Amino acid sequence: MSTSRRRFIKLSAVAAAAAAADITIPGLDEALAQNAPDASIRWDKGACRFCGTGCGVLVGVRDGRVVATQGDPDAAVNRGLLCVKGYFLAKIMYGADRLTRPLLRMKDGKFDKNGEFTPVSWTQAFDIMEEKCKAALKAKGPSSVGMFASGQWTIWEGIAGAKFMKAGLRSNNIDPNARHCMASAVAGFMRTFGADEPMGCYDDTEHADAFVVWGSNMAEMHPILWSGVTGRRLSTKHVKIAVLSTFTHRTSEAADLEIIFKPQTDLAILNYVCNYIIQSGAVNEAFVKQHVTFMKGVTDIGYGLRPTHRLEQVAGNNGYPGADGKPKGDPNAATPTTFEEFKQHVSEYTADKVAELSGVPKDKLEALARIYADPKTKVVSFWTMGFNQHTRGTWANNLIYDVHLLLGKISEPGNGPFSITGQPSACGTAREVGTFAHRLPADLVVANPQHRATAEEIWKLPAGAIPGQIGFHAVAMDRALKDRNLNFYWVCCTNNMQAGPNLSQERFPGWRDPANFVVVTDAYPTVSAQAADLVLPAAMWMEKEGAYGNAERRSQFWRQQVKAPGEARSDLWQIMEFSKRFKTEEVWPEDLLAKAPQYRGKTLFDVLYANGQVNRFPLADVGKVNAHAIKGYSNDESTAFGFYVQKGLFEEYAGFGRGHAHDLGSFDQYHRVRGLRWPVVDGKETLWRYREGYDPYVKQGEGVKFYGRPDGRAVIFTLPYQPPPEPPDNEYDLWLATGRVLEHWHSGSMTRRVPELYRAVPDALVFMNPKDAEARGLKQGDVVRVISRRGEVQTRVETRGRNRPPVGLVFVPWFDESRLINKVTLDATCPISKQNDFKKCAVKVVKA
Amino acid sequence: MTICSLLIHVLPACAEQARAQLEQLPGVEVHAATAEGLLIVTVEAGDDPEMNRTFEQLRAIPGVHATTLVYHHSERLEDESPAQGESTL
Repeated sequence: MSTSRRRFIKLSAVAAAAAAADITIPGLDEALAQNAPDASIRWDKGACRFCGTGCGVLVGVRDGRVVATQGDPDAAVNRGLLCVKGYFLAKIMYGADRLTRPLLRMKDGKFDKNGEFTPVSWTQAFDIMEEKCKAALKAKGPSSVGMFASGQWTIWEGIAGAKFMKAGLRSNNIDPNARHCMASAVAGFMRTFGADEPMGCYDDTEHADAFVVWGSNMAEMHPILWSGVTGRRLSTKHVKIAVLSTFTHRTSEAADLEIIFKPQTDLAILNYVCNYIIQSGAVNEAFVKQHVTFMKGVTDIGYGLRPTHRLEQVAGNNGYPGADGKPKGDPNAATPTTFEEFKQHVSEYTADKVAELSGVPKDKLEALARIYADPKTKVVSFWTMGFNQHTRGTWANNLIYDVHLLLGKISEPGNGPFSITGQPSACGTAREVGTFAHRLPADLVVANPQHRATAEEIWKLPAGAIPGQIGFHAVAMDRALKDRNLNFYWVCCTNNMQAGPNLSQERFPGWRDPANFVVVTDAYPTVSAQAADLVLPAAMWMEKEGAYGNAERRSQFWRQQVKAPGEARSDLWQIMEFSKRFKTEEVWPEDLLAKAPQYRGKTLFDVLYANGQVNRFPLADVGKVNAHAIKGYSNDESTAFGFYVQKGLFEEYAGFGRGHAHDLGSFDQYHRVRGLRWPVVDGKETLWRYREGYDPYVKQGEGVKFYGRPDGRAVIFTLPYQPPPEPPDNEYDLWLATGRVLEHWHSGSMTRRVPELYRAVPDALVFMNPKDAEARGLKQGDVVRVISRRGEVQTRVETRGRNRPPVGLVFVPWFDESRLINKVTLDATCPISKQNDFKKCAVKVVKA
Repeated sequence: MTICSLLIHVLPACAEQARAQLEQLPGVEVHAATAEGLLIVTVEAGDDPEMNRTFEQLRAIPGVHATTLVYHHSERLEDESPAQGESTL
């Protein structure tokens, strides 16, 4: 029996691989035909839980458990392939230490900040949350409560969370972990195009003649996207790949041109490329004349450090309160300028000057610039954290757009700048739903009164319900907790204690301060959960109905496949159920209630979710909408609340974008297809935005229209190179860059549960140049201390690994919860995007 | 028991040698190979650590350029004892 079973599974595995590779294996079909299909496994479509690529996964369930997964052959993103992280998809829900009951720190039967974690009921858990949240609201108002959200939340979790915080508790203190990963990309898009997210899509890979990868180790972090790039390179002789980084990594292996530059000098290289384009006469003058406008950004914007830092005291445009209490300028400000002035500005960035500044030989700089400037070469630029986690991250994004806009190489197959995401729904949830402290759905912002009015109308709320004050961003939340300005804090679906910067000085103290109450919703006892006061067990991935939006604007849905263990519940259920604990009178002022007397005496659940819109699809619809896939289907949230929760939330939310160039398709359609790229108009997706023939929002005869901005033009920004805030010096004499490795995804909350991964990459190492090691009397494997002005970790030296830094720089991955490198990192952000720079601070490495 | 299928790209110049090395790894079978250096491979392992060791070993073989996963199935067969170190229990 087991032999034939083994044989059958193996045949199925081979057949799937053969289909994905389009290879015929003689005799395979006959062999499979002799075995009856395995009717005990139910297969359904899903989306991968890990990075922002958004690979389609088929999920196989037997006896209520996920037993098998395979790359979805019908998914356009990955066509049946998965990277090795996909191996863990079937395992991440079944780690031995899954949280299955709410846990509260208690002593003598009562909550105690220094008590032991003790299992409590959901009622007890919500009781203490209600008490602490209401106490904070009463003492200091809505600015004292906050929520830290996630680019791993499903789309409806984002909607429910944003509504609960912004409209329910009337606080914009909601920010996602995507602040650490995407905020500079968002700010760059908004400044240049007036609209977030890439214009192109993954199909660009099949059309490009050259790929330029800036600050991204795609080979390890986005292997399926990368296999498309290397596949194109191998199958088409003329195609070239350039890889720019501050150290050599796996992506460099496939590079025709590898450029290692000194940290921060990417800004100078980008200015040099613009200069080369102009000097060599490669500017697409017709494009620039018709579709571009020129602006000059303010400089002297500081580094997002605390206002007391000496660098902030001297900064004139950081927006912090000055001596007179008024903001010192606005780091986001810009004034109109001209092509001539832009040309004059970039002319300073000569090959000689930039070669000296960046450490890159002139011939390599010129080779890079030629790739862009050649009119016959279609170029895709990819980037991730190297640009985004940067104290001038918004500028780096603006500058890469400068390059593409000067050439008109944008918004067409094979030509375009392409910002990639690190989380599965950084785009779909954090950005599109707008779970940031300053955003609302569909690119609207809280600071704009008309935008707030639009949101209030769609959400059926009285005028003035949503506050106009921008809330605390991720790093500001840490500081506000430490300063006792934020006193009730709910962290969902992310491990920020480990992931955020400057852990020991700026975050941990605030979490453990008795003045504050911290709730963490997670599936596992992460570093964050262990630092919390109350831990709520979460349902994850296939234990709930979900939707994610990937890096190419593709929204993808899945059905709930299995039950969550024990008393674990989805974040969606937790937020909605907790909202029942608040009466409008307790959280809304009288003048607001007077405008909506029908909401008097109602709970936030009634006002936000049972509002006649979110609850308009009956429970029976859950089965009907999904009958084509699973007979008798339902999901736990809809059963609990008595209506099709996900559909109601989604359809209400979709009202923001439909007719406004952010059109989402119908809920039911997404449950049938393998995702659609918005704008979805008349059921059809959009592959390239802003170009006639591809984008339904560009009218006949317009050619190209950057309609996100009122004048229909994109902005070329004049922005200089500026040095980073903490360069190495005599004492702290090395650069530290942090990042990821293939086997562990982000903080390792899920992948570290799988014992095999401990063995593959047992601990985070410090990757170091052999010369730097030798100069410090260190050798491979030595135990060392990595020390900054803020803290230190102990780890081992790796001089021969997959990451090979140049002299002067070390790299430490951040997945390892026993070696928290964020004790060492600096909390300096891009002053515009508020995204932290995890790639540049000064450290020393000494023998332990 | 866990069975995975993988597509492994090997550089055509080292294809024969890489294939021979792959086939020496425990639980590894090569089912097909193309002239372009694409191999269809299955890996069978008793538990997760064993599977992972094999992944690491096959990726370290000279000439192996890219490894992608296609299919993954884990279940306990009738004749199997509970696996050591299995994360799913």
